[in-house]
Amino acid sequence: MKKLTVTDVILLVLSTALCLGVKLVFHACGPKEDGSWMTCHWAEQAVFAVSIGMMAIAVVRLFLERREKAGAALAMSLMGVMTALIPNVMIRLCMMSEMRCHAVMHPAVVILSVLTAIAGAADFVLSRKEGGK
Amino acid sequence: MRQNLAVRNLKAKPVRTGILILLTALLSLMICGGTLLVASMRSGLASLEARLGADIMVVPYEAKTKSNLENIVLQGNPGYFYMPVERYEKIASLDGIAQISAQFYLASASSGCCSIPVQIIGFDPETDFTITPWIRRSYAKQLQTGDIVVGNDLNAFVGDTLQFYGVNCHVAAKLDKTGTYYDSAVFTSVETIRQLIASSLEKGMNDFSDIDPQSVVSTVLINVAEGYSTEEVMNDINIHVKKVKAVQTKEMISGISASLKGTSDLIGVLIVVVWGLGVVILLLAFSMSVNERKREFAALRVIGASQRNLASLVMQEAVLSGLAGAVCGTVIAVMGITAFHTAIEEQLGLPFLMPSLGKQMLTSIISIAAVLVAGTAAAAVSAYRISRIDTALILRGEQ
Amino acid sequence: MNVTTKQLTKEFPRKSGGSNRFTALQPLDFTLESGKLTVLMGRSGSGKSTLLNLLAGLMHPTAGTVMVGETDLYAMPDRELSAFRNQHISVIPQGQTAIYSLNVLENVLLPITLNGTAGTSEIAYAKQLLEQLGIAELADVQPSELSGGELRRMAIARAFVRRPEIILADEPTADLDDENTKIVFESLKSAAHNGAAVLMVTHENGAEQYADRLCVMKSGVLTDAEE
Repeated sequence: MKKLTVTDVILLVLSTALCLGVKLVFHACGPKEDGSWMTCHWAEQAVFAVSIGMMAIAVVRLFLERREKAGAALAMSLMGVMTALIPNVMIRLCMMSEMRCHAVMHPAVVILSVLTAIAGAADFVLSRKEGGK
Repeated sequence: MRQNLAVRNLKAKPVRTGILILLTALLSLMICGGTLLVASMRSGLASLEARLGADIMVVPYEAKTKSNLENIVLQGNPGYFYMPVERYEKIASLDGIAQISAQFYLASASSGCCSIPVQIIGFDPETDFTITPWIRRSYAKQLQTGDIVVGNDLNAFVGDTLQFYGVNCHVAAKLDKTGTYYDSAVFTSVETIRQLIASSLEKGMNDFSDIDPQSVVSTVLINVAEGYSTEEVMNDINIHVKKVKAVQTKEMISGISASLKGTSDLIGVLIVVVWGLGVVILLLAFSMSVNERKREFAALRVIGASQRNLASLVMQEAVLSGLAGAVCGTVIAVMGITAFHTAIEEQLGLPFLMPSLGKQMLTSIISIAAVLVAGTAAAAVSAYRISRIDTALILRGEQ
Repeated sequence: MNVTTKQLTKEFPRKSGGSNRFTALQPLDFTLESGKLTVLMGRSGSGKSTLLNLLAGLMHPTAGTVMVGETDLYAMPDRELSAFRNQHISVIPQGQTAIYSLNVLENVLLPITLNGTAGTSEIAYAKQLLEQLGIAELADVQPSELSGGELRRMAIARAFVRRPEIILADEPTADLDDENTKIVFESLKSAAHNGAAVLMVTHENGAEQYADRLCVMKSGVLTDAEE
């Protein structure tokens, strides 16, 4: 494994936070009284699935060469953008915005995934600059 | 290069610089976040006052147990109660009433995607003076039967169709945010809500089984005429109309004002404590940072840096790290509160309306400026001391 | 430029306080001549460093004046005095004086970059100085990685980089081995022969042979050594 860079750590931390957080901390609304789920639950599941992918890439990246690493970072950046769009754009959340999926999950997912997208894009741009030297 | 040297010094000690940035970020987070929270609660309260928009609210005696009424009006827990329309007429006949209008409450059953019931409020367009002016801002036309207007927090949009008790309702407009429970309510005209109440009765889903939807109202809102005191009119109603309770809206929100004051006092104390500690730590941090580099400053003097140069180097380091920290803290505060305002509102249990973007910007700029002033003031002490060092003495002793 | 002192005196208050004062430098009339390497010897505590600091404009005298050319050093406010020192006087102080956030070359160039930017010829000269002092390969290294002797040589290169008219060196060879000591002595000597007024305070035996003028300090009194 090469020396860890700042973006390595940031990408790993953000994707892990997203993956674990969406299940444990900022999860969507609970099940209804009859045990069925509201749509926001499926948004949560989708975010969870994509973030597992991002976390896996973030780990695999650590063992790659600089150029490949930058490519992986770009992929994570795009996945970050997609993840930010999952709640309420791709999968509609609950009826009222004071509900948990709106009040807690939505902003948390958007912030973490947008930060991932920015960090991934920054790593890619930086690698291009290094390459230009 | 001299400015560059400050940057280089900061880069050369990432831990120390990191701590400085963290500390100044915390200061700006506190002051910007605290100010925005208090401002949001204040405008939430103002917004609630504006939405209540009446001097007196009359409810059926059953609902007068404060908790029930406050639950619905202030906390936004859906609920409903009714009284015969005769009581409305009786009240209207009393003296000292300038404006009077009835409202009709209904809670939707769990339906559609989400299990939470929605508060539905019906108003009489003929007499209404509280809701109509607000709806006007988003929707200029008259509401047709079957039209509804949704609060800002509802995840429904103009053109959508929502079903309540089997009745299809058409979303005609979405209201501006108020930061109060009205944001998660649905508004409609008296004809529509009577239909809905009737339908809920038919389906056996209304707690009141023996009412006639055509001849009940839920609350009566009153503005007092000039020359009469609100208290007088309220007492008049309570004495002359049976089985109702008139309350001053001002009194209703006094509880909210009190907890707002409590919360903002607490935030104020927190800010003062954190700032007090923060400034002391900043003082120490700069003093330590300068002390351990005494020899470097002496060397700069030898090379030909003036006292002013040295002081300015210390100040530049302070301004650069302070600015970085202040901007970080402010951005985190503004973004955090904006993103999680609904969760914060739930936690506080108070009306919460974010100030306008311009006010947010102003608050941010003032916070950054305040942190910079505190940071540079703390650094100024060290800068002054270092500019007065006895170069010869430092270079001589291996201190 | 010569450096001339008139009745230059320095007294320090005693640590114990009171009116009891300690005279580090007795009233002195002295000229540090350009084109000469003046070596000043004496025991520690005899007032050598005090004289050097007074000549450098780093310590206000109790009485008397220091004239550098036509300029009265202590008549200037701090800003002018600092700028004057930067332009004309180089001091090689005792102990370590590196700026740890800059690399070796940047440290050497600091007298120039303090109030401006270094041109290519100045950078080339700085590199040449490092070469002469045997630390050319350390140009990009941070001072924290240098040994005491290397730091000292860096300080000497920094003192030379402005091609100053006056060089004041306080024990410049304290941390150096014989070979480097020789290099430093020769550098100071050649700077003197190129027209600078050079004062070297030292304990080092063998410094005498480089001296154009040899002085001895004893209890605050400076005398020319007898040949």
